[in-house]
Amino acid sequence: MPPTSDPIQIRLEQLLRDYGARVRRLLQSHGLDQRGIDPADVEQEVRIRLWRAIERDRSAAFHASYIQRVVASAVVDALRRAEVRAAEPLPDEDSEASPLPDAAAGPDRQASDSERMDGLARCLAEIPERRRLPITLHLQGFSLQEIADAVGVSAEAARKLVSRGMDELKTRLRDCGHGEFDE
Amino acid sequence: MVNSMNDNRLSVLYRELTARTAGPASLDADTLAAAATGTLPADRRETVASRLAVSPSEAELVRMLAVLEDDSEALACDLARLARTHGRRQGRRERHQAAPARPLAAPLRWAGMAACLMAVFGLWSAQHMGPGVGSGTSAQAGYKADRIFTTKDSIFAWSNGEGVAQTERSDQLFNSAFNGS
Repeated sequence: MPPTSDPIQIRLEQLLRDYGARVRRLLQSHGLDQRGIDPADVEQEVRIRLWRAIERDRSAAFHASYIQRVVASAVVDALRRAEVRAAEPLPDEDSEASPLPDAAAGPDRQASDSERMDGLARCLAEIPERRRLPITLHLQGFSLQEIADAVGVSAEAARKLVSRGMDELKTRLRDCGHGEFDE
Repeated sequence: MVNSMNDNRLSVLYRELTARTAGPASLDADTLAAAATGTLPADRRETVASRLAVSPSEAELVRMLAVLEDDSEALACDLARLARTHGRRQGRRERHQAAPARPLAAPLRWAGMAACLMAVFGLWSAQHMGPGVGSGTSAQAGYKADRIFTTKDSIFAWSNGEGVAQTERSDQLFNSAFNGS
């Protein structure tokens, strides 16, 4: 993007810069920067892809869905690259090898979490798939409405499915000796 | 287990578990964008939901895209406005570039119109004005007629006397021939 005095070009650059900055902030706030991707790289990539698309046809109409796909594609590419990098052998100091486990947690806590994760996986596997999906979506952070849309039921039905499913999961975890649950 | 659990802690554990087992992102950008806007076809919803349930990065991306939707709408509107402005400016520039042809085109147009006007006036006057008044052809015809009459007059004149002189000159020739001079 060479410097220019054309007001349209300046406005376009400003729009893409603002939008890219918004994408970067959202990547950080959604924790995607902890999955091996650099938000600044993704921001730059989104801006370049949009800029190229606009350059291809200045008078074309860009729908929001197209812009959304550009962002999704840039993030997916970055995630895949991060996955490949993570699979490659690392040097001795593997301080950033796995950012997800809580680095501040002590060895006891890490061992305990690891045991609980295994227990959680076993208990979830015992629940039939149709009942498991609303629970796992809830644990993954989706709202009741999003779960309702994904499963194809009403929001009220989704709420009941999640509530009963979570009760069932906690009961199973308790029965397997994986701790008491605060309400 | 000594630590107590709650829904948040369970959720964190589940995301850590799935982050280890999810593998690389497998949903394409179109599917993720459609999932964010809730526009997935009904027959794909469950498959996509099953994948999102076990892939925290893709699930986060879908949630992020849902939040970003309004910004993308706003950007699309701004780009459309900019494209319209660009289109208007482009049109003005093209008209401006075409403008140098005008100095040649305008006089030609006026000359053509003047020629047409003169032709129409000529035809009109030929039809509506009397012969000899405005028509050169009629005037010439009258003039020629006068010449003819003049010629005739001279013919008549010749037969009435002028011709006698010529005859006499001819006779002189004949005379000289006969005289042998």
